[in-house]
Amino acid sequence: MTYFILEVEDLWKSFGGLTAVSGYQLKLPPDSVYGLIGPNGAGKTTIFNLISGIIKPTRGKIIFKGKDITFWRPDQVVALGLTRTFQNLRLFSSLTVEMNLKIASHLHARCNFWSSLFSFPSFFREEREIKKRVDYILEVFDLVPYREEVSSNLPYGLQRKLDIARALMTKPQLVLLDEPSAGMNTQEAEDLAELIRRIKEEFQLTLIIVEHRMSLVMGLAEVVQVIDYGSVIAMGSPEEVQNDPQVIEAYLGTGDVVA
Amino acid sequence: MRKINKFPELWFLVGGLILLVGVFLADHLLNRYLVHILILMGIYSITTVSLNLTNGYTGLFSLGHAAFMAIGAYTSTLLAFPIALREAYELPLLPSFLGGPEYSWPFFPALVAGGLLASIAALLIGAPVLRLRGHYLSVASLGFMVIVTTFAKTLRGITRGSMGINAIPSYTNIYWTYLWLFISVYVVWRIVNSRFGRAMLAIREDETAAQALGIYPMKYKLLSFAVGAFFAGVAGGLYAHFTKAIRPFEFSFFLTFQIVTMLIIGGMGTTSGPIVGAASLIALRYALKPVEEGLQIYGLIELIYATLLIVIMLWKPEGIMGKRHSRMS
Repeated sequence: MTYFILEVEDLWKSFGGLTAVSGYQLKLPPDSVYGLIGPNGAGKTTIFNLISGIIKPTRGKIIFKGKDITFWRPDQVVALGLTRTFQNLRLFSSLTVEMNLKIASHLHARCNFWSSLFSFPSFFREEREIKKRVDYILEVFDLVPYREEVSSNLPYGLQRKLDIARALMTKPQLVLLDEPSAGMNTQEAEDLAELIRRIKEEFQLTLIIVEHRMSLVMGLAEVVQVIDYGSVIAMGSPEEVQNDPQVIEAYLGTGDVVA
Repeated sequence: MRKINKFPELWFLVGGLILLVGVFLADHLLNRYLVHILILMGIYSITTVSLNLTNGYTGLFSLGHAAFMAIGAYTSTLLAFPIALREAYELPLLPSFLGGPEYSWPFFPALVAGGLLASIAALLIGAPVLRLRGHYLSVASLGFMVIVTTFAKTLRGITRGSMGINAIPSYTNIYWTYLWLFISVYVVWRIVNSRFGRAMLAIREDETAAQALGIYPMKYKLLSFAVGAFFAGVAGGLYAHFTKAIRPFEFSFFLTFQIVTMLIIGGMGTTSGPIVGAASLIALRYALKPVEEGLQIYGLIELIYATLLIVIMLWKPEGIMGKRHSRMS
């Protein structure tokens, strides 16, 4: 039997009368990059919110690393190694770049309250380790010159990068990237694709990417799922998906012109 | 600069020694009136420093701080009240688990007990109330304050109701006050510079993102609420043993308003802001007192406090000590 790092079975979510996700399925092999595409309002972000535990499903099951995480809190899900970024950038905006990263080291800090209060040697040892990890992440993401900069002062592209960098501070195995190239120009998006490729190798990540920019998804993803009305309407390699008539219909509408 | 940043603990120790010398000199050189003002500044500083942890760093805009002060004030007073005077002032003797009728507590442990009880109250009230955000939390914490003052009014057998408690021994002096101020500043500073404080900052900035990065918000909200309440309780105890009389209505919205005003004017979420705010507003109060009496416009001081608050909110919302972040986008 093949091992899947993440299995989603028959996932449903309705908000009042509106069904946002209807029977979504996923079997994600480790070390892979999956793309999630679909028209606006198809339910992609809702699927991410469900998997990361921010909202709870109406029905269905989410299994990560063999554990049923369906009703776990987000912080518990992250602790198991599944983290995400946000489409609408939820940086800690009045804090510095360094602080944003330091905060995200929280999970791996073990120092208890009293040794922090009286600054025992264990406290300093741990703070030094955190700083080392921050230095390393800043290096990987080319953010070293911006260490002391308040994060909301960064140009938009760098804020996106910081968001991914921050997620990696939690030492995840699976990262959900929610529209990582939103608001970037073509050049920035190309650099981002390169960066994602690099960090995937460097940190041995499994990735799911929600993206509107086709070139980015097609270049990165091994398998693409097309979502419409909350369920998978097509799945396959980028080339297969692009030529699927159902996909074309979902994006462009049918050939029948209603005059 | 680098060197100082490297050993801030050492500088805290040096600062503590300088403070001790300063307090000693003040106690011996200044007249009683000025020492009185300094003590009041110290007590208010403790309350603003503790309020800063919840309101400034964790972003929980609580308006119930006076309630924690009330709990600390009543607890420490009841524990430390002299046995001989208890009957005359219709105060109960201590039950056996608190030392029995023959016993009254020394000042320091009585203050700590007041702080701890305030912390416990914070945990009990925090569990439901801290689920609320923004204005809802503020209003709910205000409700908590009403509950506490109502208890203080109606539990006549213990608190003597709205008559209040008089003839409280004046244990509070400038040394106790500034010792506790030093402790509160140290504790808040340590928390803010550890992963606990970072979690609190994260919650202030964006709770959802904080949780998505592995921080369980409730735990750190409760921690900040309980630590804040502890020092508010201690400050309440100091206040009771300073003014020598407490009445339920003193710990009402007006007191909360004063503390919040001091914090906002000084600068929320800064280290020195709360002390600067508390000290300058108390100084202003005593400077204006002769003016108020001379002109016979009573309430002038409150009017000026309120005006100052509006002015600060409009032109320097980050407070006197706050740094403004220039936002490009």
